[in-house]
Parts: sequence; structure tokens; C-alpha cells
Amino acid sequence: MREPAVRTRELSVWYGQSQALHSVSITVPRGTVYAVLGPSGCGKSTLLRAINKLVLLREGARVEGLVEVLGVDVYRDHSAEEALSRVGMVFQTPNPFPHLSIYDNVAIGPRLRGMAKGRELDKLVRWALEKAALWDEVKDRLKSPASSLSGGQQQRLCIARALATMPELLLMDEPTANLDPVNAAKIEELIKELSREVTIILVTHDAEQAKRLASTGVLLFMGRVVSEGPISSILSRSYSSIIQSLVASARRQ
Amino acid sequence: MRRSIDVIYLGVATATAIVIAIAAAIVLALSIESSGVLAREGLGFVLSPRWSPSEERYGFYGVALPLVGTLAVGVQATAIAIALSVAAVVYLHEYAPRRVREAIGIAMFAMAALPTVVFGMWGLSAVAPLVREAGLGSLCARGSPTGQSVFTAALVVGLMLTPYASSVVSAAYDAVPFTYVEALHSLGAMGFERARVLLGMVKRSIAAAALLSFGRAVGETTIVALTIGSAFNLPLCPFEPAHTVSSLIASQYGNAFLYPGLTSALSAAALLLLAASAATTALGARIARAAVARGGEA
Repeated sequence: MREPAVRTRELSVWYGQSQALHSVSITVPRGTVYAVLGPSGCGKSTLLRAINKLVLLREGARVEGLVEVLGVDVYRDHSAEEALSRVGMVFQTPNPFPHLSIYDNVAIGPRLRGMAKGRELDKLVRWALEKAALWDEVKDRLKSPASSLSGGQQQRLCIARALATMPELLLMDEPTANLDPVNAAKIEELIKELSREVTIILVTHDAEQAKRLASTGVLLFMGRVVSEGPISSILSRSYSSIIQSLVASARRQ
Repeated sequence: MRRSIDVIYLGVATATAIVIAIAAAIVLALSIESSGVLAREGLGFVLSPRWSPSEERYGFYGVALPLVGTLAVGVQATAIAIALSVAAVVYLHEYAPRRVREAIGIAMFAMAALPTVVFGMWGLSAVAPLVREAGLGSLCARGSPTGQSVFTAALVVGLMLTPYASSVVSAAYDAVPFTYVEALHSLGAMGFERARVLLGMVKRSIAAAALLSFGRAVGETTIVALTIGSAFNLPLCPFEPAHTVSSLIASQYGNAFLYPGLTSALSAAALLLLAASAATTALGARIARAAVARGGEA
């Protein structure tokens, strides 16, 4: 049996003196959409950033515990960089590089990783834009600045940027949170399409969105795991049982 | 309460009005003083290379050579300041440990506070001998035997401007929204690769820093007067001595009363310098403000 896409054990994260995650253990199976659910400030984004080590960009951040990504302990193994090169990320607010063209925004990842150049790069850019359902809208203006696109288009461009590095795991941090319903629906369709080829970890605070898109997931509250498993069972739990789980989890520590 | 605010407002408004009035008076005085030579020489004042105050009746006054010298020092000093400040910002943000970053920050702050005459003395006593000993003067047809040259002046002015330019570039680099740093990191960009993209994002601020530095470089007097070698040359080679407009004024204003028209000519040169410096500084400040308004996405 193949190892899971991501496995964390007793993962704790601190920002200075403040602890954001408390002994979080999750297992993300390959080939699924895995939802990370919970209210604002519960540690969803921190969990995502602990997986690809972006958390270490924050001054004073400290990580303890195990994080295995595609079978590699990314905080201890020498091959961590290679494993993380197979991980892409899409952020809450669309963040294409405003000074680069549409083409260059997609090409930047492959260029940085020396994956392709010339016609090979052209093909890869087209492939990524097609996958992100953006090619038809931008094929005649690839040299235009990315900032000329609408918000929804910019987010699909960011998805294309991540896909161009051919990731096996895609981390998506509330990718529809800042979009209107029409563009949010487009991104959801895209996530469904992509999930056939890429494992996706989707951070969301929208339970309905999690139901529509994910098969499994985890519910976090105040940096702790409340429950993990099939999405329907997570969402069916009552508020009182969530509190009981949290109290039990706090006592165990 | 209301009354005390009115008093403060009146005080600030009065002080501002006095500053504006002084600036206007300087421009007016320079304009009146320079009208004599400008009426006599016309465009020749800017285009003629001949500067000869000691003619029998009225001297010849053309500032073409010092103008070219000013441009040469300004461009070279700006290039040095921008290259050093960009390198410093990349090193401090991408590679330097926190303590080194803090130490260099304090050193830069101290450097920015040094009087320009200290830079000038250092340029004359340390940089010029180095240029001379390195034999750089022999690379030029009229190379400086003392080491005082356009390059010497530009190097010292460039070093003087580096903390100033790097503070502008560093502020813009810091202002790039963190989400872009995260995006670059998630794409595998580290160190220089990340810096290259971020520098592209702050290129307007770098242009602003260059214009602000150029504005200060063309007006710099003490350092240039001590290190440029004061010669009426067309500085086609950087290791030759030359004059800038400011070094010309500094070296001749003391004796200007001895020659007919020289005070007027130097005033006209000062007016020219004031206009050039003010124009580039205003343009640089405008670009810097626009870059800040864009939230670092310059």
C-alpha cells in the first residue's frame, strides 16, 4: 500500500510564546480532496503552512513533531527539498506577481526549478492554463500583465502557476474566500477536475463547500484536532460532543 | 483647547510661510544676480566650454565643461550608490543573520549621519592615494597625477549616498506584501532567486532611489571640491580631474569680487544647479510616493 500524501504526528507549532497547533496528528490519503475545517483562528492555515514549511518564514516560528510529505520527513530528511518541490500551493487572496506577464507568472515555477525552457516551456504553460480553465480567456494576451485579469481569473492563474510545477500534492488555503459566487463555483469545478490527478488539501471554513468537494478531512478547534475521518461523519457531530473531545484532548496533554 | 489648536496651527503655518519665503528669496536673489551674465552670454553660458574670468574688461563664462563633469559625477555616484544599496538590501534581507542585520543597520545609520566634510577628507587622504597608487590615471590621456579625479569624487559621493539609497530600497522591499514572499517560497525560490523577483516588484522604488540620489549627487559640494581635482577638462575618462558646477562655485566664489561678472556667472551656475537638483529630487520623490501608495507593488 502506498504511503499517505501527508502524515503528521504530534505536530505542534509556536509563534513566539503563542502555541498555534497542539499535537496535531492527521493522515491525508493519496488521490483525495482532504478538507481542513474549523472556525477562524483555529490553526487551519498554520497546519497547511507547516506541511510545506512556509511557517518557518515567520519570525519566531517553531515546529515540533513529525510531518511526512510524500513519504519524506520534511523537517529532518535531506531529501525534504525534493519532496517539497512536488507540492504546490494556492493562497486565499489571489497573488499573481503584478509586474510579470500572464505567461511569466505561469512559467516562473518551471524556470526556477529548471524544468523546461523554449518550446517545452510554452507547452507546459499552455497545459497549466488549460488545466486551470483559463487558456481560452488569455491565449491572445499572454504578454499582458497579470494585474489586468479579474479576481477570479487571477485565482485561476495562481492555480495554473502551481500546476505548472507538476505537483503531486496541492495545498489550497481558502481559495474561494475572496471571490464572488460565480467565480467561486468555477474554482470548485476546477478542484473537482484536478482531484482526479492530484491530492488536494483544502482549507475551508465553509462546511457546505467541504461536503461538495472533500471525501475526508479534519475538524480543528483552537489548534487541536476535534475529529478526523469521512467528511459526513465529521460534520454530523454535535457541538457538545466537540466540546467533550476538546476537554478530553486537553486532559491527555 | 480650541484656542490652543488655533495657536499651534498659526505657528506651523507661519513657520512654513517663512521657509517658503526664504526659498523664494534665494531663487529671486540668484535670478537677479545672474541676469547680467545670462543677458551677456545667452545660451553660450550653458553651451560654451570657455571659462575665463581674467579677461581685460569682462570675462568669458561658459559652464559646459563643469556641467558635463556634474553629469559624470552624478551618474557614476548614483550607479555606485544603487549597486551597493541593492546588494546590501539583498544580503541583509535574504542571507544575513538577524544580529548581522541589526549591526549593519546601525552602521548604515551612523554613516548617514556623518558630515560630508568627513567623507571629503577621507576621500582626499585615503581614496585619492589609492587611485594614484593603483596607476588608474595612466589609463587616461590626461590622467590625474594626484588621484583626484571624477571617479574618486563619484566613488566617495556614491558611498556617502549608499545609506540614503538603501533606506529607500529597503523600505520598498519590506513593504512587498508577505503573500508574494510565501508564493515565491512555495515555488521553490530561495535567496537570490527570490530577491530577483522581489527586486522586480520594487523597481519603481529603485528608480526613485536613483533619482533622489542623483539629485543629491549633483548638488554635493564639499566632497567633490576636495576630491575631483578642479580642472577645466571634458571628463571623457573617469580618472581625469574635472570640475562640477558645485566644485566650481566652491573654488571660485571666495575671490569672485576680483573679476567683473564672475559673481553673476557663479550665481547663474548655482541657479542651474538648483533647478537640476530640484527637478530630479521632485521626480524621485513623486515616484517614491507612488510606489508607497501601491503598497510595495512598485
